[in-house]
Amino acid sequence: MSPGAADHRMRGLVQRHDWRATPLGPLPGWQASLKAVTDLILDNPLPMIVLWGDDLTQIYNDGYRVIMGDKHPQGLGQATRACWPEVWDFAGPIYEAVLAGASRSYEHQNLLLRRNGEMREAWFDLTYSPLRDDGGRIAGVLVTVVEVTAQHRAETGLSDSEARLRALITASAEITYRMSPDWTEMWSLEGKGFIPDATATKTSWLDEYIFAEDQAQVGGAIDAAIRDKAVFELEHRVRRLDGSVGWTLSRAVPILDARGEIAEWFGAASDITARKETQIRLEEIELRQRVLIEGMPQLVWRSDVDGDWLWVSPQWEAYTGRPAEELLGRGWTASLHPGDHARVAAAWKRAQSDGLLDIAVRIRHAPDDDARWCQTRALPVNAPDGTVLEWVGTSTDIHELRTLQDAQAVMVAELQHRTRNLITVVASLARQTARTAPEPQAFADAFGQRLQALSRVQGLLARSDIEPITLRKLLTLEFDALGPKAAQSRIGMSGPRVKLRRTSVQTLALALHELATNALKHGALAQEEGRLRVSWTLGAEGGGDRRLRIEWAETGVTVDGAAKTRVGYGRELIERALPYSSGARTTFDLREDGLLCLLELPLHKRKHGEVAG
Amino acid sequence: MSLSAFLSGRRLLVVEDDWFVAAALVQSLEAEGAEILGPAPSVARALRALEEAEPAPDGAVLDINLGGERVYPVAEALRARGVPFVFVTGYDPGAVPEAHAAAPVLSKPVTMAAVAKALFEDGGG
Repeated sequence: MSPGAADHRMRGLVQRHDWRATPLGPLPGWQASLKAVTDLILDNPLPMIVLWGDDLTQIYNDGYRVIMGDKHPQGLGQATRACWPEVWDFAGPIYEAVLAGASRSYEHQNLLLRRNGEMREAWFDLTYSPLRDDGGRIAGVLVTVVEVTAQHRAETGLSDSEARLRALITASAEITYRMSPDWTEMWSLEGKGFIPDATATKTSWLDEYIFAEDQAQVGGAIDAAIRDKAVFELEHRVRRLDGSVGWTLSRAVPILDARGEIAEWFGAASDITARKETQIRLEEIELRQRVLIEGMPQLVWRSDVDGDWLWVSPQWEAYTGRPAEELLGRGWTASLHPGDHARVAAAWKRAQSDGLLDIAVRIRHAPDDDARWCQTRALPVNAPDGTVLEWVGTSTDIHELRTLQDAQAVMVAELQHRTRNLITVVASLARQTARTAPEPQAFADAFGQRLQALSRVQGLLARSDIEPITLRKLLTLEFDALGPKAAQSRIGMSGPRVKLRRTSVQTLALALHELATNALKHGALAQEEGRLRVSWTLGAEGGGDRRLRIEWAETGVTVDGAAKTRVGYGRELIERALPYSSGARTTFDLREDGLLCLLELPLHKRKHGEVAG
Repeated sequence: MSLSAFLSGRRLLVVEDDWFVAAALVQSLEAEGAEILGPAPSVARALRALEEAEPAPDGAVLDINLGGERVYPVAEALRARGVPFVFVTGYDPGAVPEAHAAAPVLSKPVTMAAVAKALFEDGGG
């Protein structure tokens, strides 16, 4: 209420007013009904005005004085049409109707009033009712007026902001939605072409928008938001308009009523499908990369430009037996072989200009408690402007390879040695053959056979790592090589399994070849009655070395006189070569009925391996 | 005069463990007119042959690897008696210890000219 409303100033003004100048005449002469209604309004706090008589002369109270504005005080006793010409279009027909017996009421009536010299828009709740004179005839109008301009302005302001919000929602690319307090109902949703709209309340929204396997997760987030009356926020999958999988970032705020209870939820969601798919692809790439890095046998590391390590792959921990944090920075150098530090420092310096680090270093391998050779390679990672951001390197365990290379070098040297030695043996065979077989054809036959014997024993030697050479195998090979002419039924072999020393095998094989060839040509295998028996035993000598005793006994042979004096190559091998190279003791006895040859070979290993010079 | 003519009439110790190689070497040296002590297949036999040789031989041809043992003790004994020697090896030369690094090393198979040059022109080890 305005300050003047309750001070009853109007009662005084009405009493003192000179009513003689108005159609109402002097106050004491007023009809009782007019006096009564005037009395009533002057005590009433609501703004009221009485319009009486044919001119609708105005009598108003303190409340109404505020509405009169600067029309007061001259408005008192004035004809209402003269006082309010600006609203006569509105008011005139109303007065006519009320004077005819009707009553009228208007809410939020908008009127233009002259106030303080200016035309102003104002809003009023108005009632108009008829007033009767003492004779019961309608003689006036009672108007009650409540100005609601301030209230109206507040309400229209609110609906303006509602309109702005609606415009924003429409203009925005965001999906917006409204949910019931417990989220069982979706009141509305604008899907913006991403997901289906909800123009009416939906109760089955969860099944419609959310895939079955995601419902628990979404439901959990909703329950938490409801419990805490807090913002709901979740990245989740949604079923898109076309049924395919989309991703959304959804946020909803609870709108609370006066009691602090949730009245509804208002939410906005954006389509993050592209970003999410990119993110998922990146995560997949990252996972694959991690699996690759952690799965490969190489040790991977990252270093800054100064050689301070920033990261190591988990393999480093297993390899060096040290936790990653110990290896970072300069810590890795402690796992280097002390002898390699200077080389690594020099290589790192070179790498700055070469743009490549490539060096074999020894790294301490915890499981072996020993250093192993690793090939370390690293490349710089460049920024677009060419500056080096960091280095990425791998270290590959090449210890086996290096060991094999070393072993190979030894083998190549050994092979070279054997080849040279073999050539010497071949040259010797050629000389010896030429001495006894001057005819080219005889030379070719004998030399060819000796080369074959040599070739056979080379074959055995080549496989001897896998398959030890036994005396029986050597003999069988020689007898088989004699061909079908040699009656195998006349050959007997007996003796324990004996592994021969590699160094003595070649000479022994050549000697046995000569003995077998001679037996086929002149001895036990050349004659019907002839028999050949090869037997061997193992025995220990006084010195403790084991000796192999081989007895080559031919019987039933008619020995011709010429053979007795012939000193063949076989005999030379047996009597001279075997004793010389192998420390063998041998006898070569051409008896009446055939050859008896005894070979005693030491079987002990020589101290420094078996390589012959 | 060919280099191998230096070998004629020389008394040479041959140390070689392989009989075929030893036989070939001996035959070749004898063909050049040399007189052979040995051949010896081991360090022990070589040292014995050296002890028994009176006067000392004029030179020696030493195979480095004698069935696993090294010929170096023989080389030291020869040096003590002032006898020139040459190493022969089936391996690539280069593995001779420092004490004998100055001695000539020949790769198998050797020629008589190379043996003669190493022993009597270059002075041996």
